[in-house]
Amino acid sequence: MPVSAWIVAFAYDALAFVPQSLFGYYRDIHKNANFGLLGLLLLTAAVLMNGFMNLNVFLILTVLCLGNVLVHVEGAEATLRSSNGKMTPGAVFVGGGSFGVITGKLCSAFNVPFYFVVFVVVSAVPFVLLSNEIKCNAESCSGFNYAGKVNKYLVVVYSALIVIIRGYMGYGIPTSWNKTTVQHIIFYSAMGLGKCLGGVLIDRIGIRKTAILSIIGSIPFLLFGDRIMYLSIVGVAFFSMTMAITLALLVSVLPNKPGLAFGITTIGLFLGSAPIFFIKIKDFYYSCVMITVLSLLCMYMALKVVRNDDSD
Amino acid sequence: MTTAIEGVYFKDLLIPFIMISLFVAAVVLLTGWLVRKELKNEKNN
Repeated sequence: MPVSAWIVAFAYDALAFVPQSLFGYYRDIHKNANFGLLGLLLLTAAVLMNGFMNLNVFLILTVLCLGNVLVHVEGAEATLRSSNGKMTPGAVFVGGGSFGVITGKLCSAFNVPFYFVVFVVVSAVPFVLLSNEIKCNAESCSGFNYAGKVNKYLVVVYSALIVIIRGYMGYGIPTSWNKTTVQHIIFYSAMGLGKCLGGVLIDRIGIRKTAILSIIGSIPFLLFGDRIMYLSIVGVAFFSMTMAITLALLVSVLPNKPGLAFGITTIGLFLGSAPIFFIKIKDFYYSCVMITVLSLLCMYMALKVVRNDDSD
Repeated sequence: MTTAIEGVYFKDLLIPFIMISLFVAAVVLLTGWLVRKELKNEKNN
């Protein structure tokens, strides 16, 4: 990968993930702001600028990232505010991002023309309009009650740390099997399905059981999944379930600011995935130690702050 | 000294990395302050 592409990828992750907390907070306060349509407009503008104009790549990148931020925040707000305290909708929304990555990888692999990308972006307009229609006007997400009776600062800090660890493990675990476009698609599909399943399980069996199942269940698959795709994708899917847990915890302690809560998870994701740009552990022994220690740390933090499943 | 990506050297990335890090640090601090403010509001209510 040339240096310029490396920097663009790193800058994209920073600009597209990190500011979501601030825009989410703004959206929490200004409930009538229509971030969705504005975001799609900026995404379309970025694709057209890239296709037609010979502009600075960082200018296009900034417009693209801003569009991504606005659409993401709007989707999160609409989903969380209208889900009545259930985690399935929020988890499906975030899990859907993995399938967006797949679409992007396919567009890149087949070198599709930019007008096709514009078509993909514009195809989201009906969904944005629909989300405005079904959006609940509730003032808060008070139905979210997943945090235990512990200090709320502790819930925020531990949730953010779990997201950081998940971000690191999601991209940092050795997956030497993952080489072709099809394998990339399988990997991201497992990640997306795991995130979705996390929300479904929280609603079905409770957040504490989901935390135990997802973290303990993922360890053996992640440890021996470097060369064996089937083991690896099961591990990734299990560990990705923690996404729904952290989102549920953060919205529970910040019920009036779901956009801000959602933004904390995206910051954590960037902070977790950023080290991968510099150092990747390839040694089997060190990766085993890393996976085990980080998973157990996640387990400790999650069980410390989630509520008991049988409590009201 | 190379990075995790073949052919990419740390020295080539220093300035963009510092700029991005400053941006991220600023947003993280501001987010932390907003969370603290919000949790204080919740406690008072």
